[in-house]
This record gives sequence, C-alpha cells and structure tokens, in this order.
Amino acid sequence: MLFNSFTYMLFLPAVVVLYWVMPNRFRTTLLLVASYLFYMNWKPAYGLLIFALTLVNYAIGLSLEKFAAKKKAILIGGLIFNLGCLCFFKYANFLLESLFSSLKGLSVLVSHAPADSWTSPALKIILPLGISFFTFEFIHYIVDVYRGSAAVKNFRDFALFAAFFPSQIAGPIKRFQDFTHQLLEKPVFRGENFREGLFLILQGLFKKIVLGDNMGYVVNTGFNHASRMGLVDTWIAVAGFTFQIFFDFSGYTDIGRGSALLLGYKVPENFNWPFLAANLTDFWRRWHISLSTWLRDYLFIPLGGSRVSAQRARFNTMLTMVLGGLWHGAAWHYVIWGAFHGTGLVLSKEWTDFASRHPVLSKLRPHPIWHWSGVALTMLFLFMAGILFRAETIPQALTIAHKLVVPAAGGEVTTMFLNSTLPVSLSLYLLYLAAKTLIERARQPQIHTAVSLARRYFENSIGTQVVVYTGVAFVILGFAPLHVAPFIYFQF
Amino acid sequence: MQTATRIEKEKAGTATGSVKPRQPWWKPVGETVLALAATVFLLESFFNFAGIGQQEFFEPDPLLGARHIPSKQVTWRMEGLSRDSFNSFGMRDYERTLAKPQDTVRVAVLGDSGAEGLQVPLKNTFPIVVQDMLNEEAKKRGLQKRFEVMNFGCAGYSMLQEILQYETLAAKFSPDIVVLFYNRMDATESIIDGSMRSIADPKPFCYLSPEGEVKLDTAILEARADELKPNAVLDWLRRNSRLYGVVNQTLFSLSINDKHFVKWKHMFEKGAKVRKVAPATYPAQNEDQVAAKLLERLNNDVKSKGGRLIVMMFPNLIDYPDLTRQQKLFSGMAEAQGFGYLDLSDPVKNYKRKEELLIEYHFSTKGHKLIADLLKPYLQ
Repeated sequence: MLFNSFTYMLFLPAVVVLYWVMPNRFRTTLLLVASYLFYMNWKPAYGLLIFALTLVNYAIGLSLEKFAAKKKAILIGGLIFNLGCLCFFKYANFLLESLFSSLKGLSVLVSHAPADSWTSPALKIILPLGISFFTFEFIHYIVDVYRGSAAVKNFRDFALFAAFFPSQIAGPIKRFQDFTHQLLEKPVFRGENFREGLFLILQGLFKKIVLGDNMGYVVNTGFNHASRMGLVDTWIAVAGFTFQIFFDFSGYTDIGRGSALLLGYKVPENFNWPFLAANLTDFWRRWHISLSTWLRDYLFIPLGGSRVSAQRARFNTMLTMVLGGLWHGAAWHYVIWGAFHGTGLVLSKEWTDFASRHPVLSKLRPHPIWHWSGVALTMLFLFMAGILFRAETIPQALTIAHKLVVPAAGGEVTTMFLNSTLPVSLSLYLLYLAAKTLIERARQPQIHTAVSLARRYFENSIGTQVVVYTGVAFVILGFAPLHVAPFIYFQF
Repeated sequence: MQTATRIEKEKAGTATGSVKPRQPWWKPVGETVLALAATVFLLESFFNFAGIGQQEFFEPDPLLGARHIPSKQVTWRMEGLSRDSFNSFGMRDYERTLAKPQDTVRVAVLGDSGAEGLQVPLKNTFPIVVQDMLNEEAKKRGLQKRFEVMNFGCAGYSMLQEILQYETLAAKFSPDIVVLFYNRMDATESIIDGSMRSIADPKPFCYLSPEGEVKLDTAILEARADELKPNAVLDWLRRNSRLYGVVNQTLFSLSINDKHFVKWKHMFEKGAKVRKVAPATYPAQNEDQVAAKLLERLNNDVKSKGGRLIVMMFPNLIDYPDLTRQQKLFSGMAEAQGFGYLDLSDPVKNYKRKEELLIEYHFSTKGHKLIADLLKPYLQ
C-alpha cells in the first residue's frame, strides 16, 4: 500500500480510530494485524516471508540469550541467514547476470562462439518490498542481543517491531530498544502528538506529491532524452534529481513518522537539513541518518572504524560506502555510486586534516566564506553522484556528465520546468522554510509572544484546525500531478 | 449533597483558574465559519494566482453533450502550458462578432483537441498564427482585405460533434472557408457499438439509414438528460471555483491511478439510479461509410452557404491502418466532390527534428507554426 494512495488515506484513519477506541491490551495485536494487511495488500504471499523471517530472528534472539556459550556461532548463523535471504531476493539475479556476462564475453573472445547462442539465466524473483530495511533491523537486533541487550520475550511485540507499517517499507531503520520501550510504556493519546502527526503527514505529502513527483516529470524527460538536452537542461535535470530524491524520501519519512505519531509512537528522524552540509562527512550525518548510523555501528566500527592506521581507515570507509551503494540496488551503477561517495569521504577527510594543519588555511576555516564554499562544493559533488544513482547505464551517466560542461542547444527540460507548477510550489516551500527559520531564530520577544498566542488559539480551536488542515490538503491536491508515482526508495 | 460538592469544586476551580469557563456555543461555531471563509478565500485567490484548478472547462450541452464554458479562464498544464480565456461564445479564440465585418474573409476551424491547442498559448495556435500571417501579407500588399480565422476546436469532439458544432454555432458567423481538422478516431467516436450504450459518455452518435442518410442517435443523451440539465449551483461552481476544479481533477486522477478507488466508485454507482438506454434500432455501423456521409453533408452545407471546405488530416506518423484508409477515402472524395485536402503526414514525417513538433500527443508551438505555414496557401 502506498502512503500516497487513496487506500492508505482510508486505511490510516480507520486504524487510528480503532486503535484509540480499543482497550489497551488489544492495541498491539491490532497494529500487528494492520501492519500485515498493509504489507499483504501488495503481494499477499510475501506476508508469509516477513512472518518467517520474524519467527527465525525471534528464535535467534532467544537462543543468543539461552546458549551463551555458543552465541558466536548462533550470531554467525543468524547473519548468514539474514544476509542470505537478502542476497537471494535482491542480488541473485545481479550475481547471475554479472557472471553470465563475464562468461559470455570470455567465450566470444576465446572460441568466437556467437553471442546470441547464450540465454540469460535470470530467475523469476520479485523483490519483496522493504526487505533491505527489515533485514537490517533484524541484523541490528541479533547483533545487539549478542552484545548484551536483552532479547524481546514477547513474540507479538517483536513481530510488531519488524512489521510496524509506518516504517515497514522504507524505514527509518528502527532500533528495537527504542521501539519496545515505547511498547512497554503503552502509548497515551495526546493532542500535541496528534497535531504534529497530521502536520508531518501533510508536510510529507507536500514534499512527495507537490515537489518530488512534479520534479520527477522534469527529471525523467531529461534523463530519458539525454542526447537532446542542452547545457541548462542538463543542470536542471541533474540538480532536479538530487532534490527529487530528497523530497521523495524525506516526504515518505515524514508520512511514516506522522502516521506513527497518530498511534502514539515515535520513529527516528532520517534527515536534518542535508543540503546545508559543509562537507561529505557532515552530509552523511544529515542524510538517511538511520542507514548511515546503521552502517557506522554494524559495519564501519566492527571493521575497525577510524581508530586504525590511516590506510586501513580509508579502506574501511571505502568498503562501507561500496556496500552501502550495493544495499541501494543490485546494479553496477549503485556500486560505483557508493565508491564515488567513499572516495569523496576519504578526500574530504584528507582535505580537512590538511587544512587544519596548514597555517594559512586553518585561519581561513572559521570564515563564513569557507563554510559556504564547502556547502556549494558538497552540493556539486551530490549532483555528480546523483547522475550515477539515476542513470540507467554507465554510458548514459557519462553522456549526461559531458553535457554538464559542453554548451549545446536544447530547452525542452527548461521549458518543462518553467511551465510546471514547480516555480510556484518551490517558492512556497522556501517561503515556509524561511518563515519557520526566522521565527525560530527571532530575538524579538514580541514575535515569540505573537506566535505562541496564535499557536494557543489554534490548539484550542478544533474547528480551525480541521479547516486549516483541509486547506493544506487542498493545496496538495491542487498541485498534484495527474499520475501518481511510487516512492523511489520502495525499490530498495 | 452532590450538587453542593460540584458547586464547591467549581468555585474552587474558578478561584484557582484551573477550570475553564464554558464557552457559549456560538463562539467555536463562529470561529470555524470564519476560518472556513478565510481559508476558502485564500485558497481561491492563491489558486487563481498559481493557475490551479482551472482545467475544468466543460459544461453540459443538451445536443453536443459537452461544450466549452463561455469566458472561462483556463490554465492547462497536462501537456505544455497555456493560460487564456475562452471567448464569450466558448471558443478558444479572441472575441469575435457574429456579424462579419466588411472586407473580411472568415475561416472557421473545426476539430478536437488538436485544433483547440490548449497545450500552447492562444497566440501560438495555428488559427491565430495563420490569421496573423495572412493579415500581415494583405497589409504588405496594400489590400483592404482582412482575415479572421476562428477556432471552434473542442477537446474530445467526434466528427459528428464537430459537424454539429458547425451547424449550430460556426455557421452563424458566415464563414467563407471551413477547415475540418480530422484527427484519428474522429469517425470511430461518431458511432457507438450496442454493448457500449449503457456506459458511454452522454453525447450524440449517428448511423446511416437504409436510404444512406445520416441520422442522429440521441438515446444516450435522452437517457442521461438529468445530468445535462442546468444546475445553478454546479454551473456557478464550474465557472467560478478553482476548489471545485481541484476536486474534479482529483477524482479524475484517482480514477486513472487507483484500482481500489475505481472499484469503490463502481460499487457506489451501482447503488445509484440505473439508467436505461434505448437499444439501437439499426445494425452495426461502418465508420468509414459514416465518415464519408458526414463529410459529404458538411461539404454540401458549406457549399450551399457559398463557402469552401478544406479537410486537413492529422499526421499519420506510425501508419495506423484506419487513418491510412481514411486518408485514401477523403483524398478521393476531395477530388470527386471538389473540396480542399491537406495531409500533414509527409511534412511532419520529413521535418528535421520532428520531436520538436509534438508535446506527447499534441502540437507544440513549432508544430502549430508548421501547420499555419502549410495551411496558408489554401486560405489565400
């Protein structure tokens, strides 16, 4: 079920109402049933898959506690099981195809056999939605239990941790300690949670539908007709994709977090103004936070992190990012994207170290120009990385990169961008961000008094709340493109 | 005893300020109404500024099924962009007078969305471009003659509706030349298969009588007459409200995107009044025969009023068999019956960067310019 679908707009209110009118003891069960319905709405058979994975990991968790002497073997078994499932569903065809291409190339080269006599060995596998996310949650669970956290004893609670619909398909990747703590606390209905939840859902829908989907049309036109793009077209398409993926993914996270809040749960934040990052290390602290912290805790640090030799630390960074790239998708351009980010992180770290040692550069570092140059360069790097992420093939990525620097006639993408609702909706969004920031940073007490008066009035007037939320929903519907697009991160 | 306790509690609460005084009922209601009015006003103003909810431009018509809303401002974004108003006759055109000005050659363009050209600004549609070109040339030659190329194109119209549009509206402007911009499916959409009668959109269809005359089939219009009746509230909303436009656009988007919505909509509609459409009293129709008869009827009508007909064929870019057949049929008829015939297929196919001529399924500004260039010699 898509968060931006009509069905979800009926499903969520129904679940929320049932949840709060139901006695407390039935609520977890209700959420579990709702989460499975949510998942099985896409492909019922895969409900069994998530159930089986949950059951096995639950047993692994209990076994890790019970058989302390063999816990290393159990952990290794658990990791092989989880990674094996992920590899089978996500990477089997990629590995087979890569092997097949290599063998085919070799055969043509050695025996001059006709290439078309080879048939693809691809298996008919449909990637289960969200498998990359819930597999990482399972790995986090068994590793943490291995490291000493208490295993979850109640199967229903554990099953809900794995299947919780607001974060089931594309994260954020939860930590079981936070989640089960909230389960034990028993959520209480709070007006402010409800208001914040609704606000987050509307904000997420605005980002996804109004900004992300409309941007998607422009970006797709550019990437699908790369050879026709002019210089300005290419810059719009490339920058557009970087923003599209942000609006799409952070929109998804907002809707998920908002939905969870309506049910009294808090799901971790995934983004923190990522485009204000002054370097790549800073960027990965602000972008897809739940994944980058997972990679840090369960891959980078176990590899030795940065408390090893400089050479080894560079290797650890590269390996973490290459695997992070591969996590996004079973294709070589994701691997190269990961390696590109890894190289960027290594260079960024080297440059920061060099600048802090250099007498002149170290004096320049506190200056705002230094900071904003870093922001601009990071953005430029992200645009380049975005080409690798979005392009379907390496030659297409190279064509687009070439078009970024070579002047050429075009104009299709530029006209499409200017003709769309994006100039208005982006201005509206920037205006909202500017107003929010200005109010938060305002030093005049009168502004804070006025804002808190308005807020108090709003909180006390349910009628006004309904009208305002409906009005925002109308804005979203008004700017929505004709065709609904799925979330980009659903494919991962 | 209980009452006394409650009063004491209330007194204590009031004294400490912990119990809120009860608001009169009208206060929250008034606040809500005020918020509603302010929100509607803000949204309508903002949507008007941003050109949102202005793609709603049809109103029911008892004969044609649907027609453009006169003087309606339309912002079109589905392909390309345009922000213009229809004229007071509901034409995608500048304001025109019914009476023909002196020394003016009038051209009426009939057609569907291809002629309507909402994908480009009004000034870039081929009727306006060719009109400007002709007037410019007449001016250069020092002629008194002026040209008015009027656009009667309307999205979704079939060949029958285009001809009815001529008979009921365009003919009143006394055109000297009539251009029928024939698009693929225009003939097919003029007839209806027996199995489709109960679910077809309310619009006129036609058939050939045993004597070979074109006859109107208005059974579907009659069965759904209640939908086509004027409705003061809906008509007002359609003409003036952008919020209404947003609601309709959302329902349309859902009906093409969400299978669950479609399922529920059908369930809901099944519960609504079932419309019985009278069964067809004629055999299955051949679209080419019907198209030929319709064209003959239009040509005779135009001729009888002293005018001249030109049929302009939409480019057959991927050699659709039906359009190929109709190209042959109409070019043959043009020769035999003496009307003009202009096929856009070759000029578009041979255009160097033909992708620049189209925005998905309709002509771009360059496409309209090309049509104007090709049409100009036929109108001089």
